[in-house]
Amino acid sequence: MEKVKKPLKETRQVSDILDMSSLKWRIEADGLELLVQGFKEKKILGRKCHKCGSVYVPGLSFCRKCFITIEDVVEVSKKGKIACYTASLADVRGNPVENITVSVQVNLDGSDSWLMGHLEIDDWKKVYVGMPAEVVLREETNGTLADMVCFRPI
Amino acid sequence: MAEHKIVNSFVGLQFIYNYRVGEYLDKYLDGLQSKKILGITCPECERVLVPPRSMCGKCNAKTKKWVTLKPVGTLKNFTISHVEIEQGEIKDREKPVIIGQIKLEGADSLLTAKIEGVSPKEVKTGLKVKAVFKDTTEGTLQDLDHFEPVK
Amino acid sequence: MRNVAIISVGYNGRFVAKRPDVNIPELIQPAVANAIKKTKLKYSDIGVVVEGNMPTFEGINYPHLWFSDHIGAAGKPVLRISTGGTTGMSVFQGGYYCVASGMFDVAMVIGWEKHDEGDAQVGLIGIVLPEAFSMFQFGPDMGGGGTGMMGGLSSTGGASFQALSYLHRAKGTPDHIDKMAAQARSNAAKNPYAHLQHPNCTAADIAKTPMVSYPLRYGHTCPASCGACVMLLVAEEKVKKFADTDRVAWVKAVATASSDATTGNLVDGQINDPAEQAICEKIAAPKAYKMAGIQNPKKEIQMCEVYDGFAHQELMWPEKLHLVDNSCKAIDEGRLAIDGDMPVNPSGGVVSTNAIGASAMVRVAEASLQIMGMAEGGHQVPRRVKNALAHGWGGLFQFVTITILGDEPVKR
Repeated sequence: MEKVKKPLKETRQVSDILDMSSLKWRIEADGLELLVQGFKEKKILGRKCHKCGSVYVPGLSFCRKCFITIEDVVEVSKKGKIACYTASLADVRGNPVENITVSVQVNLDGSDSWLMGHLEIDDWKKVYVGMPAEVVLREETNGTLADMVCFRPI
Repeated sequence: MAEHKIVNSFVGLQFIYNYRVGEYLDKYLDGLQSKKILGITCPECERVLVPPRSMCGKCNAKTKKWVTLKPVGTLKNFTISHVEIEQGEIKDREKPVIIGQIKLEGADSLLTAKIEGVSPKEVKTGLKVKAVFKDTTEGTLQDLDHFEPVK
Repeated sequence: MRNVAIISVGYNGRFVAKRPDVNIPELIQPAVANAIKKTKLKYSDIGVVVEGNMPTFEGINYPHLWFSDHIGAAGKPVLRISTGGTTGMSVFQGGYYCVASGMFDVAMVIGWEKHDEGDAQVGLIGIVLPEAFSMFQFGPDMGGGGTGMMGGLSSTGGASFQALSYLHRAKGTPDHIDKMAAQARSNAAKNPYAHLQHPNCTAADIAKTPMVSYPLRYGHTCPASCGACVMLLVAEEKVKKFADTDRVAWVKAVATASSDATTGNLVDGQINDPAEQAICEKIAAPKAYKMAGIQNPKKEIQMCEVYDGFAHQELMWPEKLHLVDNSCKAIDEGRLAIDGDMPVNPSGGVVSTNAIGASAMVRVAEASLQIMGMAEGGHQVPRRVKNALAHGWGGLFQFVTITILGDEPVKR
C-alpha cells in the first residue's frame, strides 16, 4: 500500500544552543519552607483554609479553591493512602532502566492534597491504589528537603 | 501577613536546535560557495529578491526564475558599529565597523554586509561597491566577506 | 454575535517525523496555499491571520517574524497565541472571535510544528518548568530531583499518574489502553495525512511495545511530527461568496477553561488528581453544550476528535465530555470505532500524529471535514455527521478547549 518514497533532499543545518543555566527565576517557596521547618521537629505541616476547610501539604499561602490568603498552620499525619502511582521502566530516551523506581502520590490522613514522592518497595507490581503508606524521615533532621527519605508501605 | 520565602531558581538545561535552511537558501549558499550571488524573481511583480525565498510576500506568489547578479551595487544605507557582543557581554570593538545595506545591480531588495576599504568618516550613501569573497569558500553566509568601494 | 463557518481546511501534506528539505516558512506555506485553493477567496480577502505553535520546541519565540510573507500577512494584523497543547484550538478560537465579533469577515488560522529542528523531550521539560516552579510553591515532588523530572513532571510521567487514576475510577485495565491505541493506529492508516499508520493494528501488537511508565507503554504515546494545519473562517453573510462547497462546517460553540499549574486541575474535586478534570466535565463541556443548544450530547453528537497525547486519554476525555458513560466498556463493545455509535478520533488522533502546535487545531479540522463529508482515505464516518465535537488539553492538564461544529448555523 505504501508507495516507494523518494528520500527528501537534505538541506543545510544551522545549529544553535539555548543555555538555560544563564537564566534565573524567582519563585515563592512558602509552602516548602513550612514543610522543611516542620521536618526539624519531625512533623508534617500544612495550611488549612479557614473558609472551605481544605488542607494543603505543602501549605501554600492561598486557597486555590477560594482564592483567599490562608495562614492557619496544621499538622497532618505521616500516614496515608496511595492515591496514584507509576513505575518508571524506561528513561527519558525510552531505554529500559535497571533500577525501577516507583513514584507515588499519597493522600496523608488529614490532608486534602496528594504529596508526591518515591516509594521504597521491593516489587513495583505489589503497589495498588489505596495501599497504606507512611513518610520516612531520616534519623537526624535539619530542616532541608533531604530530610524526607521516601514513602514506605505500612 | 508573614513575609514570603523567595528563592532564586537555576535550571541547568541546554537546548540544542538544528534549523534547516530549506531549498532556496541552500541554493543561495551553493552560489556563495562558487563566488556567485543568486537572486530569485517574482513572476507577478518581477522584483528580484536577494537572498532568495520561496514566496513574494507582496504578491503572495511563488517565486520562480533564478538569476545570477553582478557582484556590484550601490550603498543605500549604513550604520557604524562601535560595540560587539561576545557571550552576552557588550565590548568595545578595536576599531569601528561599517555595516551597510547594498542594492545590487538588478536586485530589488537590500543585502546587508560589512563595508571595508573606506573609513567611517568618508563613507556615504550612493557609494559604488563590489563584493569581496573569501579566498576559500565553504558554502556559508561568511563566504561573502565584505563589500568595498569600486576604484 | 455573528455565525462563523469553516469553509476550508489545508494541510501541508502528510505529517512526518523529519523534513530536512524545507525550513519553517516553507513547511507552513503549502498548507496556506492548499486551504486557499479550495475556496473562491483571494489572499486580499483575508482580514486577519492568527498563528501559533510551541515556543521552546524550535527555540524561536517569534517565528511569525520569519514567515509573515509566506502566509499572506502583508498589510494585515498577525496575532500569535500559545497555550501549550491547546495552542491549535486557542488559535482557532482566536480567529473565531475575530470573525464572530464583526471585526473581520475572513480569518485565517495556522497551527504548526517542526519537531525535527529542536529536541521535543528537552522542549517538554522546558515547557514543564513553569509547572515545576508552581509545584515548588504548591505541592512539589519530594522524591528529590530525579524522580521528579522523570516520574512526575515530564509529560509521560504526569500522564501515567493520570492513566492509572483513570483506570482505577473506570474499573479498566491496561489492556483497554492497548485496545484504544490499536484502534487509533488502525484509524490513522485510513487517514492519508496521519504520521504513524499501522493498518489493522491489534491490541497484541501494542502490548508487545516496552513499558515506559506504568501503565503507559511506548505504543500508547504520541510521535513527534512535522506539519501545519490551516483553516479559513468566514462570517455567515460571506459564506456563499467565498465557499466553494455547499457543505461547510458551522461553529456552534466554543468553550475554554483554565486551572492551576499542577498535576491536578483544581476547581472542584480531588486536589492533585490529574484524572479529575473538573474544568472539562463541570465547566467547559456544559458551557459548550449550552452555547450550541445541545440537550443530550450522547444522541445529538455523531463523532468526536479528542486530544489524546497518550492513548488512555482517548478513553478518558469522551467520559469527561459526557459523550460516553464508560469508555472501557464502550471500546470492548466496539462503540468507539469509525462505524460505532460514538466514533472517537477517526483520524487516528494525536497518539498517531502530533505536531503539537497543530494538534488541537487538527481536531477541529478533522471534525469539520467529517461534517463536510470530505474526510479522505476511508476515515469518513459512515452515518451523516450533523454535530461533531473537537477537544484539546494543554499545560500539565490545566487548560481545556472545546469546539462544537454543526452542519447548520445556530439561530442566535
